[in-house]
Amino acid sequence: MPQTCDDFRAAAQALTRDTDGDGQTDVYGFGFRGAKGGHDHWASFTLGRDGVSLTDGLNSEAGIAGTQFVADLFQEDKVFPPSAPNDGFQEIIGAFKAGKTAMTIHHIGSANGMAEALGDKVSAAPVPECGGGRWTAFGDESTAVLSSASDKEAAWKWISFLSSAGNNARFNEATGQLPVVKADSESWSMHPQRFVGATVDSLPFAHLLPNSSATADFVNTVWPTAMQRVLTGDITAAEMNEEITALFDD
Amino acid sequence: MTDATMTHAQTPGGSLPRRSLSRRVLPYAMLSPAVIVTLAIVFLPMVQTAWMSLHEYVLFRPNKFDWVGLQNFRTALADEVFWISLGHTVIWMAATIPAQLLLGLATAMLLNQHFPWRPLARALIIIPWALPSVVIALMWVWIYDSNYGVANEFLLRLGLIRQAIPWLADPDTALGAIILTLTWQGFPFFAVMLLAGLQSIPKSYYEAASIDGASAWRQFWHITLPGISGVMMTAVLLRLIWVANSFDVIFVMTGGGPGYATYTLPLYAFVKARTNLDFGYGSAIAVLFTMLLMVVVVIYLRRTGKAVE
Repeated sequence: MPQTCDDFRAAAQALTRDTDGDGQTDVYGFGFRGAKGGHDHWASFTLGRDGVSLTDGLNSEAGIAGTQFVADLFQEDKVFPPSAPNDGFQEIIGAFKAGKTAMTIHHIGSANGMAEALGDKVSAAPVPECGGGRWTAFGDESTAVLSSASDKEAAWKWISFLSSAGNNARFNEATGQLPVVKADSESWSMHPQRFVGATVDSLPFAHLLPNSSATADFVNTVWPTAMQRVLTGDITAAEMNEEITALFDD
Repeated sequence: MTDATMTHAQTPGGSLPRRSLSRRVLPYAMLSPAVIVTLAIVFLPMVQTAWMSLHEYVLFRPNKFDWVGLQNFRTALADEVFWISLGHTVIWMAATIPAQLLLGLATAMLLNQHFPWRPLARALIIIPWALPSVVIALMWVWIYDSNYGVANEFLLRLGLIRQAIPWLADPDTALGAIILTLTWQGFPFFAVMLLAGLQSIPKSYYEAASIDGASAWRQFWHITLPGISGVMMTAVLLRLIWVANSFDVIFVMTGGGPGYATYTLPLYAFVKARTNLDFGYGSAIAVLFTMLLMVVVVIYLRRTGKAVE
């Protein structure tokens, strides 16, 4: 399993192959999601770097290196399928299940489908360490206490109840997500254990996106458009990071 | 006359004005439901859009509805993406409508010939037009897919390309690929309209022209084209407005990407309003586009009106 970004790059290059000798690439090293929702992929290579987050340090050398790393994987190493700039959820999952891509990043929600399609040939691991740290998305938050809630105490009591051993498993059986309570995740049987293990191992460096209205614009328009422009050579990595910084600075 | 005379004879004094009043009111009464519905679902949102375009109105801050005058319009005119989208809209309209028209005209002339399975062909030709836009868009996404798509497979087997082309992921080909999709979707409309026009041209015109020794081209130029010019003008006007406003196929196929490669103005207005929830700015783009489209429609009507006359 690639432990660092350099390992990852070497693995992606080795896995990008012409399997039938016709001069065409048949398998690509990594299925990158360049369309909406792919910010998690980019963030795993960028936001783990020392001193880099969406709200701070993105314009630093380390931040720009993260975006450049993604651009190089596509433009120089050609380890992403050529369709990567427009690929969304269906495309990356479809290509991975079909064996068109050898690695990708996705949450545990797709684990059962992957195991069904690929059997023992598929497994999961935490994202590599890039530039001094790791970053992965914490995932969806199903519960929250709004600042305008009429009874915050009762809301917190309800969340605490859902987060207790046993109840957390019942709750996640209903939502299809993964228990965050250790006792429940160890006995969890709704997803293959190797995927559960990788997810639990990722918890120490799992982060939420900033709690700001700019996050919605980042996810829906700014990130996909800027990333696609970087991948197609329309703007530089520095310009993309500048655009994201400006969004969160507003 | 008889009715009026009888009425006058049967109910003298005051009945005639009442009947006359009811006759005057009846058309308004019958039209008013349609007018009220149209006002409510067309004109009211139009006015609302124009009003919103003069305000800062972002739904993340729903209680903030501040008057900014023409600021949104000034921002739009200084916005690089607005001009990129306008350029794509011009290409989109200038390429799609003539392509649909020419393909539709050729199809209509073929369907106007006598051949055994003509009724079936006329029915089948409607299919692209009858399919929902989302279905068409998803279908063509798979046709263009660089891994599994039949377009690449076909071209590779013919030896026309050496490696699969990511049609929708390459900024150089994405807009053209979507224009081809919309051409395929829209040409049946022209085919059906023009076929109706062709069938209204009397056969005797062609017979007389043949006797006079007119070639097929001269018959087309002097009989067919003038014969269908009225229908053609109306069909082009309708498609001009529909194609200009159409963004559903683009939205499903690329979402405007890669980057801004397939952004058109209606799509940009939609993204700004419905995705970024910036209804003030999105409305300003929509209003600007409506005004530009009105100019195009007026110029078109003036020029084609003279030509048809």
